[in-house]
Amino acid sequence: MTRNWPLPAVVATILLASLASLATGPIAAPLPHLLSALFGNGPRDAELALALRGPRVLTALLCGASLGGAGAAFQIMFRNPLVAPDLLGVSSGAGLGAAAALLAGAAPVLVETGAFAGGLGAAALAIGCARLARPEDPRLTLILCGVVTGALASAGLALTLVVADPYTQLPAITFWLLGSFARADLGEAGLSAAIASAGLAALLWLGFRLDALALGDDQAESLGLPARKLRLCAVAAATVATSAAVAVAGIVGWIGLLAPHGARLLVGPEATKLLPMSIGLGALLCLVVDRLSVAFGAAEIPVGLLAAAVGAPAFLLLFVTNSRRPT
Amino acid sequence: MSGMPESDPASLPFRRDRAASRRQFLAAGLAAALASCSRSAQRRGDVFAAGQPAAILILALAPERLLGWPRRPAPAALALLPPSADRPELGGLSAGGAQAALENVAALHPELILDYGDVNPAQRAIAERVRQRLGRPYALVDGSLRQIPSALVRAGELLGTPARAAELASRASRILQGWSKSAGDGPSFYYARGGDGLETGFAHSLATEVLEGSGWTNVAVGEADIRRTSREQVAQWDPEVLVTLDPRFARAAAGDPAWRERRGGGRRRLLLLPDLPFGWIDRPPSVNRLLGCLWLTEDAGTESGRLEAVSDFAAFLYGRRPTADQARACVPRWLA
Repeated sequence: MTRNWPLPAVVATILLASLASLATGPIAAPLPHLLSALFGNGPRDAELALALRGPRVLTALLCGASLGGAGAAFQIMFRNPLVAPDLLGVSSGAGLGAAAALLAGAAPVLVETGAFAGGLGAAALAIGCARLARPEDPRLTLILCGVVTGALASAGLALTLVVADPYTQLPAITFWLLGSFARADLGEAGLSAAIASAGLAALLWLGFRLDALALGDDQAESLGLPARKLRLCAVAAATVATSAAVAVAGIVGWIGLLAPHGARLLVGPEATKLLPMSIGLGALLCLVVDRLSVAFGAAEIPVGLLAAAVGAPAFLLLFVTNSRRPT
Repeated sequence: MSGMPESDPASLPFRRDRAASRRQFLAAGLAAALASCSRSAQRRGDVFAAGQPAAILILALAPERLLGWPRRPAPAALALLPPSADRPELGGLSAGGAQAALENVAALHPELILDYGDVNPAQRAIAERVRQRLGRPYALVDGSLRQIPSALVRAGELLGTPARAAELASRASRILQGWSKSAGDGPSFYYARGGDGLETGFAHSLATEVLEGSGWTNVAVGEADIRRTSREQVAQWDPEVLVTLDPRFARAAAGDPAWRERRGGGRRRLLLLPDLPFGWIDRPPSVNRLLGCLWLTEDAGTESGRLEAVSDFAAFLYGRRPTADQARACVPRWLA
């Protein structure tokens, strides 16, 4: 049974959580001061807190929404609940791109560009290999090619770790791979949000078509849908959204796996409901992880680490809850 | 046909001279060839550095014995080092960074493997394992900042350069005395590492020991060693000075109000310390940190006097005096 209330409730919770995120942090700045600062006449501390937390909250929202949406799209398309947004090697490719840029001593914006290009490159390679194979089961072939591409990118990434200077480059690469919402400034977060939004909008437009794709190419085509083109479009949209997220935040696992499962529990498997709910839950999860990352002392706990620590038990809980529900 | 008599008595001394010259020439050639072989052997080196700090220590004491670098310095750094520093990259054996394969190390037939840094159970275990497997001596020298003079003496004994080590240890000792004596009320600082400046050495870490020892106050407290933090946390700490070795970060932060403006008003100072040929306070933690200690010593007098003293000591330490242009590029800069 699905309900109608969850999506507005999740949107309201995201708004409240965003306000709470803006109002909490090392610098004490109450919400009224922050609102005054938003209109340009707040105290200095509130202006500072807003300037530093704003991009961070935006990055967390963007990252969570992208990973949640992409995870849901992949799970629907591939009819596999264990599929995550880095199915086609996007995370490893982005990691390789970022690590190569860090090795070259590139500026932060070029590191993000390298990560974005690496993510897209890895997915493009997987799609290209799958198309060359002309398979009977295109979905399975795409998954296998994604595994191969991811493994290759991981090998490249491991090589960068081996050759990196242990006193300068190695910590930078390691910290990048562990994920953080602290890197982006407003311009970079805004640009990534625009790119990710385009990918998410395409996924939302695909909506019910993804359900048709899940039935198989023959069934989809019998409904008058160009199955191969639609699948390519969906994979490209999910990859763009994931790459944009990973480029600004680093590798943040589990969100793309957990959010669709939580969403399925709330609104059922239908793509038109599951996609927006996964996007919302992903954003909410990342906001929570972000606040946790700065809540335990002066050093930031890497968000990739926290996402795994929170996501894995939560996933297990969802799995057990789901399996005990009456059918 | 008359010609020169076969045995012209007048020509005999000349011929004898010629024969002697030829012998002398051959002997000189042989000696030169042997000397060349000997220099080649010297150029090849025979001490394997287990980590970059050890390589810098060997460079300072007996550069001709350095087999190679765990990580070869960048060309800009090599330009500030003597020609003997132009060695291949071999990888290292201590934790972190590219690792050398033991069989490759064995093939180099090192007389000694030298490690310089933390002396802890993990490093001792590495040393013991390598010693057992290669059958080569593996010396582990304590790399803490205040122990540099004794580390120099011990390494000098191991490397067969006790006189050079004694002289360097004596100067290091004076530098460290002056440095710890100057410890007063220095400014509060945040040490920004990495391109985005969000990696930092927390208080009492190796990375900030040079600054803290001279009375500067590290605002990053509550953690150990190197961690990442957030820009908001840095703003909350509100340090008087941002210290960095990274020109990329210095360029980015110089014009960024979030980094430069202080909470109570006023502008935060930004100090870019030299990173060539090696960092003055960090990167890697070896004898190169003596340069930072000397620069922070108040006894050295005015800023120009301090820079001259640092330049002289760097020339002595690395065995090469930089050109005027190189020296101008390797000075601390307070950025506007």
